[in-house]
Amino acid sequence: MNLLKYLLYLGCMAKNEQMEYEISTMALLKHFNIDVEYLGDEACCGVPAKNFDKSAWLISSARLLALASQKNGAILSLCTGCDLSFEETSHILRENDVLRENIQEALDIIGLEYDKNIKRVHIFDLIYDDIGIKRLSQAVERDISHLKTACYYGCHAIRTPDLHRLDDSEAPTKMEEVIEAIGGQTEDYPERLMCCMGPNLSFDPKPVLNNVGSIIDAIKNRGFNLLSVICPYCFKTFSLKPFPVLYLTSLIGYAVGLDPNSLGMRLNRSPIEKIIPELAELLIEEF
Amino acid sequence: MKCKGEFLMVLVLEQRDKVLVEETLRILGEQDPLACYQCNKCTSGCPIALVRQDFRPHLIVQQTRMGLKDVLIKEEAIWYCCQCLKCVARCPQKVAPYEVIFALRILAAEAGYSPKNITKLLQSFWNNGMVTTPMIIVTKDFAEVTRQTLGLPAPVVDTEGLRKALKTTKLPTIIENLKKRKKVSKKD
Repeated sequence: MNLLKYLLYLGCMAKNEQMEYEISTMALLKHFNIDVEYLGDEACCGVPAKNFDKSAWLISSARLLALASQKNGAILSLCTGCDLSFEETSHILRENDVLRENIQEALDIIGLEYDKNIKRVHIFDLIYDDIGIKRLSQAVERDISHLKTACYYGCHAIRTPDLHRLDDSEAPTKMEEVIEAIGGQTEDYPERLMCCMGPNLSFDPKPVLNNVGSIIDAIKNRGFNLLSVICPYCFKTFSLKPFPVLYLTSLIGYAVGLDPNSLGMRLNRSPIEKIIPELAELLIEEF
Repeated sequence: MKCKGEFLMVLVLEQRDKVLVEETLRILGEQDPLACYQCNKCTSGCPIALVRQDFRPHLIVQQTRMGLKDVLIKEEAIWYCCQCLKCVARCPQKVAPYEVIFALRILAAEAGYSPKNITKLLQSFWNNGMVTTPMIIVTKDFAEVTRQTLGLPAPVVDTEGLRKALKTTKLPTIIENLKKRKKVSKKD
């Protein structure tokens, strides 16, 4: 039995501009009767501060982890970048006692205590480990065999190998297993471990667009008609190109029979109505 | 008698900033740039090197070893890294160009060099406790929606608490210094 409760932490991207991820996650977890509540503090995980001061990054992440342990739960992130930040922080602070004491001194000021046994979990862990392949395949209500899905993990979900990540860093298979369980088609392709270059979007967009363009071209040429992602940065970069992109949570939600509107698919600006007929009908009706 | 190549090498080594390796080591902790034997695994797997001719992680490590601090911190190259962590996973010597690059970014910021938009993200992090602020999103059927109209709870951000904890670090001074930010130059 899992006694920990899940405390949802959205991260800047998911909460401020990628609301589809949050809406579809909540709908999916409700469908599978998994209780989740909000962590109650949506301050940044600190990764942007990593460029300027390492301890500022560690304090920001450790603060959120300490907050979750104070509420006696595991921190559940949607963004793989936030999730990696929590994993890296807890790894560093577990190994380095001196650093942990320094960080604790900063947390003492705001009355928080860092527990080195704190648990972090990503929504993908929850789908794969808690819901599980068997329950997913039993819950399927809609036929999605016409969707040939390209699985895109995103860098922070799988690297680095010495940290506890969602899947293997060079040959991940879990997302493919999930897609097959819900009745979709998928296959291996060389570009699936590429980087979307999302972090450079604000600073140097031209090479980023070239990069996603070439990945999307390769995916199209291999006969895929959908891209499935689990990172808000990957979603943001790929949805700049006219090719259907869905969060894995939305895709599973669709396969288990949830209404596209309740999965937030209207917020998805990529051309998914080409492959999701229910959504196309909905849009025509309203028109 | 010295051959020409050796003579040039001596000249370059004379000019180098001898403390740069030590400075990076102070930030890095474990990874030692001196352990790099230039096998090129990082660059051959780097997604940025694939689209940018001017980004070569193994050369950044080499320049660090040579102590070319001025070149490294004033140019844009160290800011191109997207943190995909492939080089960390693949480096046989556990040098990890990614870690070296982040140490160099910290040194660049300490010297007042930082690209405009990355500095903006940091300022937003400090002022709002998050890097972006809640946005109005246009849906497929051209309706304007916000978290509120979608029925999602308003995000709670304890900016005061975060800042209080961060006041123990060098971050407030760095942010103050970056108000007089120096421009980072493009590589030629």
